[in-house]
Amino acid sequence: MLQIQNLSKDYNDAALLRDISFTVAAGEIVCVLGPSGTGKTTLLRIIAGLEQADAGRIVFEGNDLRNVPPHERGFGLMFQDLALFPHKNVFDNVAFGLRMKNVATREISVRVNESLELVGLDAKLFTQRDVNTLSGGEQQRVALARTLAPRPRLVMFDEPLGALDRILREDLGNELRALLKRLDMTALYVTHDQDEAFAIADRLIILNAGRIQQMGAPIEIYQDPANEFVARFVGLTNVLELRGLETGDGRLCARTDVGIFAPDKKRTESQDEFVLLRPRAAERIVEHSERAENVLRGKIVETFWRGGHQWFVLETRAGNFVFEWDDRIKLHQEISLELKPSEIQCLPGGNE
Amino acid sequence: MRARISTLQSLISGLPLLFLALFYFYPLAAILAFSFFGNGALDLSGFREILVDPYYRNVLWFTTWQAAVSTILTILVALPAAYIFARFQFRGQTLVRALTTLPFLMPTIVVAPAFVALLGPRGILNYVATNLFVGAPTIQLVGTIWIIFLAHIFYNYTIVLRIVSTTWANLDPQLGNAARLLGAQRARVFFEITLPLLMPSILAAALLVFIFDFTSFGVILILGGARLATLEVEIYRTAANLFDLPLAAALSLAQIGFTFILILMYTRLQTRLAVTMRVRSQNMTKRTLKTWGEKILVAVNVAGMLLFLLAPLGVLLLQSLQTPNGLGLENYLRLNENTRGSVTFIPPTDALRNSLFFASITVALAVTLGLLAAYAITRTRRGGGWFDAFFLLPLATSAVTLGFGYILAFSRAPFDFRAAVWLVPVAHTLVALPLVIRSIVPLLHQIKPNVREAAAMLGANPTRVFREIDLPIVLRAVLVGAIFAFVISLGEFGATTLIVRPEWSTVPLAIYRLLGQPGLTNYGQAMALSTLLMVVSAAAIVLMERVRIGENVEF
Repeated sequence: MLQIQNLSKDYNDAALLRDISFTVAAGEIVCVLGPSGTGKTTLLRIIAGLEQADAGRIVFEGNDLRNVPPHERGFGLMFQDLALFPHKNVFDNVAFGLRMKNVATREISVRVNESLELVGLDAKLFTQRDVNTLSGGEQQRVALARTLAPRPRLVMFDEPLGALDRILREDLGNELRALLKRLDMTALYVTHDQDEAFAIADRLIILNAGRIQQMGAPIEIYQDPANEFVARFVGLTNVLELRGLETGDGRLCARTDVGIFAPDKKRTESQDEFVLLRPRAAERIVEHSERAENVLRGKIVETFWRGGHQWFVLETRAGNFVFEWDDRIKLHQEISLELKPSEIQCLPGGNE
Repeated sequence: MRARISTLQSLISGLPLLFLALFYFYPLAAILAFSFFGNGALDLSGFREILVDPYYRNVLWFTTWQAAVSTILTILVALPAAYIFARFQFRGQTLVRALTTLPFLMPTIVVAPAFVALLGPRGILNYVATNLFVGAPTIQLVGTIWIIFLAHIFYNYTIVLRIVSTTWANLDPQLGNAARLLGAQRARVFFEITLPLLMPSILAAALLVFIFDFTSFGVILILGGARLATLEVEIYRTAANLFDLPLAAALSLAQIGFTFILILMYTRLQTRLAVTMRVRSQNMTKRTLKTWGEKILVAVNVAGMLLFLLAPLGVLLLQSLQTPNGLGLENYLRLNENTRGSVTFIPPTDALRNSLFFASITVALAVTLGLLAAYAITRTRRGGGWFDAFFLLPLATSAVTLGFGYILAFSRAPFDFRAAVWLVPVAHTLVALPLVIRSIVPLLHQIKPNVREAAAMLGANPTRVFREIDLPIVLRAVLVGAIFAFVISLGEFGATTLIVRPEWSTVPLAIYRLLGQPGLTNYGQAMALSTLLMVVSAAAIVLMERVRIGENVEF
């Protein structure tokens, strides 16, 4: 439906976006995830037509959008700071897009009410309210209703939940996905918050330093991060630097400062620079291990609960690592942790 | 293309600057020059007189301490209301807030007679007192410092209320709760947490109130009697009655020096205030009234506030209807009569016509210049703040000083505008401009680029965007600015009284003259004229509250 082809953009003589290409299928929610300052917002603004790319094409349903001004693209964009019209009340804000499409007056009021109810606002209570007197969450919902009311062909979100506190953010995030699916909308969503992105997306695009690092479904990215940056960014932080590759028993083994690790999958390649130990890799805790590989020696310094599981922090010569472990643990003990080869993988460095 | 834009830009910001240069800085320079070189050679006799004569030392001292005490009293009286407005949500809140603005924008020339109507020898309170008890009028407040304090509190109440309650509402109530959990008692919480955090805004409000009290003119002239005079009143008397221009120039210079320092302190404080304030949604800090205690607290406070702020105005209305034969409209009906048979007398109806004429020219001038200046302030990235402070300067100069400057500057070449009628609306424009700009700027700030973009994303073409976003907001700005200019022009007294020709007298001048003359008819007519002025101003202010976006007022 939407095809982005080799998009590039410079900002102050530095490359902001470099050779970005991806597609969004009809009815799909694609989420662009990346740290702040990586050109996410600029990407949205280029697709919206509010800014021009230096190179590349944007094709929507087979038409090149190069010379189509923003107001004729039929896209919706929910701004980070909402950009509600301060001089119009809630009704007039939501009705704006419908009026621009010359929808009949009677139908406008029906559809405004519908849109407000859709985002969880009581139309009776809210239509006449001054937008400046609404709370942050209410303003967010009004902005969402305004964006969705004209049923845009593609709806884009620029960190729409950014200003909200955590609890409200999770509530709205979950609701938003359900809502977009219910309306069968095609959406492009930009955020720096990985929890938010994983909760909302059908497919993720991880962006860093103006380049796409990885594209895929949330589970693919989590299970098989393309490089060290992606791994760390999605919360897989047990990353060791690779010191060299060795051959043992006809397999490739990765040498690090704290031992040799041998993943069972044949993913090890020569440009790899890091070893990732997934949090579920912990297999056995022993005082002394007989194994020659896939053993991490260190001291358990802390335990905590997260996501319904117990975790522990292992202090080693190469730094601290966290693992999931649902069994009794004695703190402050020197141990050897035997790891499952299936939960170990080698990674290339970030794609700068 | 770029060159053409910058020419246009400099024209836009250049026009208001040119106006300011000719009609503000030039008269000030004239005062400066005259105070040093009154008769061609360097002459410091004016300054010597100020420094040597204990009379002027006393005037300066009186001006300062009455302003200081008035300021402190105003803050003490307004603080409880600031708390209530900041922390509670109750019905009629916006209306009550709008009503408190009424006194501030009321012309001094109306406020002073209102207090006379309430507390004067012929006032309502004395009327009640003499009829209930036997004897002569018992309340003798006119001519004392107390009625001046009252009038100053009445006048500036809303400044403290608005500035402090906005900061207070943005204070996180959790801070207080946190302090209480750490073991602080309620009083400790107030003095160690709330008060220090409010302090910058209290100081900013205090400075502004102090400036207004320091340069107070109409109130002191009418209520202060013959004995009490501020620097401002003294400048007026020296220039208009004694014609001692070098002395008046020296006094003006002293006043300018003082107020400049104060306004400088104010702008610096204001920038600090803007940085430190962490804005929270007011919905999270405000709560509805729950206990009876809270309800009574709010009710008593609001009732007291309204009684204090509206009683003088209500009494004014009542007094204007008072005739020898009971209540009636006689005072209004006889406004066009020349009851004194005097040749120089201007019938009040003519004064009304003059006032409206000046006000409409002021509106046109102030809105045009205000829009240009506000546009320059909001569009310039660098230097915008400097520009902003620059246009605030006239606020630091009292109207009488300005009028006096006009007398000195525009009675000789190269700008000999003696007897020019249009100097009056020009002076009005200068007095109104700071407030007009301050009311337009926040509105223009609402036209953010992304609001335009949002409209475009919703399908509005560029023409539509202009029609739906820019135009309505600019129109509101124009309307708000126009109302401000209108109200200020109608009530302007200090500058007008010095520069206007007798046949062009305005309503405030007519009121002042009527009050100064004996006789019940004159008093009744003064009350009737004041009431008319009050009603028109009040209607304008109510209209303005409806046009504003949100609740933001910048002083």
